[in-house]
Amino acid sequence: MNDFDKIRNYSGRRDFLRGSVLGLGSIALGSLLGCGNRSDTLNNAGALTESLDENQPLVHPHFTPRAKRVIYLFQSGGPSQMELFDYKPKLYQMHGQEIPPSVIGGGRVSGMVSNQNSFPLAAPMTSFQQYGSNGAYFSDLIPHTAGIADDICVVRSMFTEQINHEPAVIFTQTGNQLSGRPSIGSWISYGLGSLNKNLPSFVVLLSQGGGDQPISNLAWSNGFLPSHHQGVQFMSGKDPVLYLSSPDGMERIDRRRALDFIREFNLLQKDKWQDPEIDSRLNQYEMAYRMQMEVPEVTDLSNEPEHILDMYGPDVKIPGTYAYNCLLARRLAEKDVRFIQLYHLGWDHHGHLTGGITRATRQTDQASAALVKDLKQRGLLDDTLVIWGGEFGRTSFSQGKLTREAFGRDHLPNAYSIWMAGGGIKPGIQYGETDDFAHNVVNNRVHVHDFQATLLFLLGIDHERFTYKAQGRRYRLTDVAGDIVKPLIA
Amino acid sequence: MSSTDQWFQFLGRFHPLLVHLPIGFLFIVFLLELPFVRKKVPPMHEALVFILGVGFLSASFSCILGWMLSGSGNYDTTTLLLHQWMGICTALISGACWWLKKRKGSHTGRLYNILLSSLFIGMMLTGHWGGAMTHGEGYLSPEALLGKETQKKYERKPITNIQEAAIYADLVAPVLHEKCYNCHSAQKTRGGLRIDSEKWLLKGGKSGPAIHAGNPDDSELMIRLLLPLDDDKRMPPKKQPQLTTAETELLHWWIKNGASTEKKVKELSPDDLHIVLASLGETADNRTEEITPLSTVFDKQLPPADTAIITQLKQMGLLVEPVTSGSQLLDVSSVNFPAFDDTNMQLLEKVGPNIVSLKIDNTAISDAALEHIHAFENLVKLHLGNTAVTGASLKRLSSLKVLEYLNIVGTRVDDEGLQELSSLPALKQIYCWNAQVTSKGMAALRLKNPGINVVGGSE
Repeated sequence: MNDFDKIRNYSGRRDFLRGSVLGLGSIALGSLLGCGNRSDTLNNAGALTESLDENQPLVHPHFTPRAKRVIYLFQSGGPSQMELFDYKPKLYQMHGQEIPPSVIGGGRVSGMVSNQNSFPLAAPMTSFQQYGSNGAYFSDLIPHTAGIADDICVVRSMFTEQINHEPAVIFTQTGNQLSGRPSIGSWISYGLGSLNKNLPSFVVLLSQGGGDQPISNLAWSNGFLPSHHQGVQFMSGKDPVLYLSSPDGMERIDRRRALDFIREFNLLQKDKWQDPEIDSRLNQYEMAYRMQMEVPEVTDLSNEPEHILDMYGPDVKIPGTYAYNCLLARRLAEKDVRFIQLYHLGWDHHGHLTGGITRATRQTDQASAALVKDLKQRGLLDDTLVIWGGEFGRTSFSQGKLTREAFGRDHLPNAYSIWMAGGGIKPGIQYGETDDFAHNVVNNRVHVHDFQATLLFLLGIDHERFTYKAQGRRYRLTDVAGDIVKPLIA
Repeated sequence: MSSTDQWFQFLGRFHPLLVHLPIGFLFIVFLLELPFVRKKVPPMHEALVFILGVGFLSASFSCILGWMLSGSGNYDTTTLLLHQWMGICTALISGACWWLKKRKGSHTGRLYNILLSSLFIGMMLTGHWGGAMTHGEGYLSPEALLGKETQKKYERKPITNIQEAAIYADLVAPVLHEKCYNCHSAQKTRGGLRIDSEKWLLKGGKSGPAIHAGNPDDSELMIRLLLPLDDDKRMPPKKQPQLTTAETELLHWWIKNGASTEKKVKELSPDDLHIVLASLGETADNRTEEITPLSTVFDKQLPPADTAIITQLKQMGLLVEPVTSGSQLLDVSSVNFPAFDDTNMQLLEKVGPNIVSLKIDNTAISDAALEHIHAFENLVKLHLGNTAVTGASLKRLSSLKVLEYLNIVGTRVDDEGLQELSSLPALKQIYCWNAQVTSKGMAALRLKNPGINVVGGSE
């Protein structure tokens, strides 16, 4: 492979232009200075073009990491903060009254309620009680989560910039409202790589039976990062990873020989074209081969004892449920998978919130709490960061007509609640405060980028130094913003 | 300011650029005229006359530009005068050298040698003072070499009687002293601004007065304080210690109320009192709170571990990685090597002091593995879960003085073995779920050492 081919073939137009300008420049400079022979100058040019590729994974973190892996329990749809974590007694007293206009202020409401004449406040459908050593309020809908009050940190002052599902989910997952950037898990996979050589570093588990609101796989996309960093989705059922098992009659040794043969061809192609995606492809083939051994073992829950299954609730025995995925997440964490992303749909309660949220909490509450407890007893919670949260919150006023039985809540980007546990997060605290209507954050605001910066910090990464250059500029997960929320860190 | 003045000052800014020309020219003459150099190179009388000539010319030009620049008035006068006159002298001497060289050819006498030597010294001194003006006094000093450059940490005078405390002298000035004087005082006058006394505050710097009494929104000082951290004009700059919210509010209040240097705390209305006094308290803004540091082991500088052994361990299948980029501390995990056993431990022992986290759970080790554990003196985290380790070997852990985390989940450790851990000085977490430990044993350990959190499983 000579240097000319390298410049000719290596990736895009910009790289070619840059490479040729600097390369020719250095040759010209060499001859101007009259030093060195021809081959020396050419070597210099080669070295220059090589050093131009500044996109090198971190491999080792910037700071001592507090967390080694992340389990992100994404609750898609926008869980209602005032039905779960953000206790607002005033809402009960003011049920049916108009929300004061000053609360909404200049803030926007979604297109779904913008033609509503009246915005009557709706009392939360449930009551609250105090739990844990700090007497934190949790709703009756989530008794199991309330039971781990001393292990989790509830952030009630999250806010985002997006009011619709898709952009808000993409914003939370990639730091940008438009899809196309890498997901958090992809960034981590790219930056820190895999611990377990037989499992991917970024696994996605999508639970069934939540709701009909779709979620796009752009949420776990690798964006501009090499494609083997995209989330590997584990399906429920016999084949957790599609097309992973060998067809009948195919021996593992045959598979190995086939892969080796294909590899030779790919390496020839790579030598010719220098396309980094060929590396990705090779990586994926090898990973798939190794996963053939490990994945069936991880996904086989048959040797889990009954009392553990009981912790997660009755759903745990049905593959594909949220509870099943929580248990799977624990098993993957035990195997040192870096980033395990669950998605549960079914939190989008525009109408009939009462029924919807009862169903959603019944599906998720026990298993989420069980996961934290299970990780804790195994000593894994210490360096596993668990995150529970959605893409935005919901309004305290009713969407549509307000009746005691049937009311709905619309999307609200201004304020929502999430919780985190383990991995260097301070346990048993409540952070941030909203106004009496849970509509605006009044104290200790946490922007999505702040949350992401904190997440990266816990993994030992400086969000400002962790960049990838694509399309002519450097990108960060936190874009150009984000502060580490230090009070959350133990 | 007239446009001629502006032109003057603009041209003056080329002074720092131009000065390096005479330095180079005259220095090369000095070198070439050194006796042992002169012996080795062919005579170059004409060339030297020419170099001295352009040296003299460029030095004179530099002097003129320097004089133009000095008009902007942002420099410490003493240093400026020294620099100015030394510069002029240097230029004149270079002229004299040129003249002598031209007249006398290669037979220059002693006078020429003396002049050339003083030219060299003059250049060094002029340069030094020039540097002191741009980079601040003490930029090049023995203290800078020893890293003691930053002045002694300023300590506030304790306020003995809060009622009698003067708002400027006892509250405002200390904030400025702590956060601003490093660059804006007699020692260093960045941006032409000194604020180490109120008269300088009003005079201001290059961008005009620092404060407009009574109008904080129009005061450069406030504007700079409130710019985003990433703005180039933000003060204090990004990497420097920042003012707390309460301190910023104090400055705002002080300027708004006339920037008086006389007022005392007792003259304040109760409404103002809390703003003024808040600056004395701890920071109210949560985001400046510092994160609890991790074990001090992570700050340790250790000699690097033997790379040959690390390679061997990696080939074996262990993950052996530095904790952070460039660190000599190692994080070792057997996640890809479940066959790890007692004999492998002997190899691992050789890099033991560098290992801060050791994860050998779910492996084939037994009690014998812990015979070597004393070598792992910097171990903070130890995972032994789901192995054949028993309580009998836990007393060997007593040599681990910095161990904070111990995982013996699913081992054969019993109540008796658990008690061996009570004397570990740094231990904070024990995970012993599914071991042969009873709640009685756990309670006994908690009693002996309440600092340890024993997690036995969710009851």
